[in-house]
Amino acid sequence: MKVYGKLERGSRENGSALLIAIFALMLISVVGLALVVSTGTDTALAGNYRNSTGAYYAAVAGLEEARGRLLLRNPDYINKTGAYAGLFSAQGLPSLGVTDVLYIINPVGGETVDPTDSESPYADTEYAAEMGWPLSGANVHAYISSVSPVAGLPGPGFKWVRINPVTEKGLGIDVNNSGGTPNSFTPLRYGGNGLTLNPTGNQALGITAFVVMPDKSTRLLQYVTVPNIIQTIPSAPSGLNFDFPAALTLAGNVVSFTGPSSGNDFRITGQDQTPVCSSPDYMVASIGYTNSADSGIATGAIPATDYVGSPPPNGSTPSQAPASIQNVSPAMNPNWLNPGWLEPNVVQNITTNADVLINGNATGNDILAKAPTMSAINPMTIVVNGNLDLNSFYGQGFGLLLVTGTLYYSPSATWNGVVLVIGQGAMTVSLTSDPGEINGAVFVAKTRDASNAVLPALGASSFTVSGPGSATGIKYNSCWIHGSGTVAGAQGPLNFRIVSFREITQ
Amino acid sequence: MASRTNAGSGFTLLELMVAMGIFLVICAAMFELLDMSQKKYSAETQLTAAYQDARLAMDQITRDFNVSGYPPVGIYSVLPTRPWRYALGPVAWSPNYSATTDCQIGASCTTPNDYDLIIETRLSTDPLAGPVHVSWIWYHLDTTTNTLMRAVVRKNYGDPLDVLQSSGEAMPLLTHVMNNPADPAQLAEIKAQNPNMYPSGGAQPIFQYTCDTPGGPLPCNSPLASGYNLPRNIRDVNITLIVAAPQRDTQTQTYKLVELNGRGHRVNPEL
Repeated sequence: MKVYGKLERGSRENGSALLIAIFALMLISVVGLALVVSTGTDTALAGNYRNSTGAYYAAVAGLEEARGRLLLRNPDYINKTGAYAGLFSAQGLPSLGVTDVLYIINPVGGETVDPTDSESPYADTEYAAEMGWPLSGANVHAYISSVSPVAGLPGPGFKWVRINPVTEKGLGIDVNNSGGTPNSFTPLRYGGNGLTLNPTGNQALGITAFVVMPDKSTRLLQYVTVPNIIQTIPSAPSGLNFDFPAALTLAGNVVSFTGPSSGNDFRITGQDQTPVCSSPDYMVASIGYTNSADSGIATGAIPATDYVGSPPPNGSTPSQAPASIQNVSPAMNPNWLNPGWLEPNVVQNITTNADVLINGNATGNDILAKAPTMSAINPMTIVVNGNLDLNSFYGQGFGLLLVTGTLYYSPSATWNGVVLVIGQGAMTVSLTSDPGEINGAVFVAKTRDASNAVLPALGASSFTVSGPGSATGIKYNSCWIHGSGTVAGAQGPLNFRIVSFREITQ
Repeated sequence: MASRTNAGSGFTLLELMVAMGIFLVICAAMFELLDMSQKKYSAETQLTAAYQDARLAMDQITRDFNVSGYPPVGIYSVLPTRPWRYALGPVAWSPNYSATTDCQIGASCTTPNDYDLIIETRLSTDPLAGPVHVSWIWYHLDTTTNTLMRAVVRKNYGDPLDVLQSSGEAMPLLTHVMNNPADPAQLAEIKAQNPNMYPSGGAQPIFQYTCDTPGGPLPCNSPLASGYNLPRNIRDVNITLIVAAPQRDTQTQTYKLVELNGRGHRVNPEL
């Protein structure tokens, strides 16, 4: 009976449990869905923002990879194997024809990136818009694979980076304000002061990076760059180009030169020690000053036979002091006599591109500790933002040395390359009987006062020799200054300076 | 027993009242919970919306600033006579806007300042064909309405700020920007509630600049950057946006704020 009754009641209420369960489930589903929807919208919005920022930085990464790999001294230099021999000089300077095009490509996960394929989502349609002719009319060289740390990774990585000469038409800029139709056939060069159509100066290159975002929208960023090179070729004043007019240049006003005392020697010769690197061979002054009122420094150069050279451009017959000690300012890029230009363009530029930067006073061993791989075939850019003491160093350095404080040198040390003492502009030599020497050139300029504020005009740079000894001193050496592709000491351009940067909207 | 149960199929009044009482209490609690979560949801939605708006604004400012200063003067070997063919620097300034004069950020500059920035560049949306025409893009916080305004005009011979102010082009980009409310009571209230967002104790600048100096980039207002605190030396702009939800939180009656930080980095070289 009991059992029956229960069954009966149960059957009367059949279905209500189902109904309640359905209602409960619906309620939970609605709440759950609402949660999912709101979170989903959030995620999508955050994703878009991330993609946009990520795409920008991916494109910049592509630009920087190309800019870095244009450097001769980069282990991943794009012409390392000589595959593009006709496009770059032995010193790493670009000489691309107006139709030459290089691509660095970055495919991900087995995809094909072919910018010349107009059917591809990665087609380079911008080239035709810039140059005026399609890619099929260009000389597209074999693709270069990306070596960027982000290469091959999924995400909004760049797809390709194009390197090609720039023209007025491509930039949409009348660089010489000549009016009329922009020129579309002459690759622009950098003439020391802006881009020019003239055939002098170093070639400017456009670097364009292309990024596809996951939503298929694209971003294009473009640099215009020019090589900054410290070299001896007088006919190519461009960017940082500097023609060292003397083995030792004391730039400034009321400069001082104190030679060794009687019976001691610190020889300074402007005769090129390896003329193979300068063409035509030429000779520079032993000591150069830049203010005609400073001619009195020649009286400190004794004995006269220790100072051999001849100021450019006539440098064919070597002379001795005082004839080899000259005002070299007429042969110099005037910017190098302006502290307001030297500080940002030389000091800061070199500092930001240094292989080794030491802030504060340092010794030669500090440099070696930070640059263990520095060698004749791997010269480096070393910056000491302070005093550098090379006394009792008994080591060798290679490359470009910039000291903003005082450089204390002794013949225990050898430096092969360029020595710039720009800042406090003071170099002090303590003679020893060691065989060390400076092969290359030395440039001393006082651009700052004692509190490191930039002076309105160059100050009194100084060069002082003291102590007993007989040293080889400074030997002008064009190979160590600018190097070449075949001679040890080749550094190539210091960097490719950014002349302009823009985003291109397709 | 069984028959009694069957016969009295129903509940006593007491049973019914207790059951209903319990039901009502549970219902009340449920509705209270629902109401709370509804309010919370609404407040959070508003805040999320404010955050998204701020992100878009931030993206716009950084994108504009990243490509500021194009085309730079250094690209020309012969400078055009018309000043709108080139950018004098990443940022236009007022007063004394010219190639040979400057103003000092934090001192003689009316713009740029903490709440006012004029980016000078060629718009990337300008068609490539045709001569370059540089534009001025003005970001300015209206502290009365707490609205970040944006205006774009083509560069011309005039003073950038005068030109922009009289152009009538300024459009609201982002509302409820609480970096520097003109109403002192409002500022005091939100500062008290969110002291971390106003570390200086006063209003929080939207734009903070770093300038290139011989010793490397430094905050432009640092004494070490003295002499280099010029608009054309600006390298980076750090952007801080403090944005409030449109309505006060219905539960706590406080402003709900969100802070967003970003940075624009200028690549084009200076004059």
